[in-house]
Amino acid sequence: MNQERLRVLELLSQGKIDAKEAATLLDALGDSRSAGAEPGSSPAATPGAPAGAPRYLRVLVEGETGEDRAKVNVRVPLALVRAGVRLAALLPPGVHDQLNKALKKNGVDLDVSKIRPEHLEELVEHLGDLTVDVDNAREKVRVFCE
Amino acid sequence: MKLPPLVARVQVRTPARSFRLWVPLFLVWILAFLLLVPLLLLALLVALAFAPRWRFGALLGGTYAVLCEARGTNVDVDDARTRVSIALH
Repeated sequence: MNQERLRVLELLSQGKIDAKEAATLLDALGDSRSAGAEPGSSPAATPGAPAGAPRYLRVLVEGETGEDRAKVNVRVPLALVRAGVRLAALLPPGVHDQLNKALKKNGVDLDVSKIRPEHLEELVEHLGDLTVDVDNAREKVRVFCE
Repeated sequence: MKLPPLVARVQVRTPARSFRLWVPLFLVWILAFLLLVPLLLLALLVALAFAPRWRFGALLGGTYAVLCEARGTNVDVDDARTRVSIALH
């Protein structure tokens, strides 16, 4: 969280502004962030990504509660995902077919040849504002960017 | 210049004991580089002979980029008794 957002929340907690004003200010900060007009908000931004863009893809998997509770926490740099997508785009079509077959065999119905770096940027852009939560009786999965 | 991960931190915690290991990956890269140079030359010749449409240089660059961008990857696996954490720096 950047300094401006913290300041707004402090003002709210001190009662100097009300919730409506805080929401307006946070919205305005959000807009300037998404437009990349806030230099320095992300001290070490990912190369090739707009300033303030998320840097990591986080996947949290929490197993069933109780004695056998298991938790997996994976943090992958988005730059790695971007590099992977760029590499996939360079692979010859024959390799794409083999990859698609292998993915399908493992339950992932995906055409690798159709994934383009610009699609990933779009996905990352949306994941910045969104958290994917998958909940069932046995496990909880959360996917988000940070 | 971008570099691949130079060190991996492996941390294991069990009720009995816990330890942290810093694995010097840069030593592995040096050894791998010595092995890979002749192998890559061979692969380049094979690619030129049998698959001239493959963009060998770009593929090589892309693979190196994937390796470099792996820095910052962190995997934690926790169960009730054991915790294993691997981080690439």
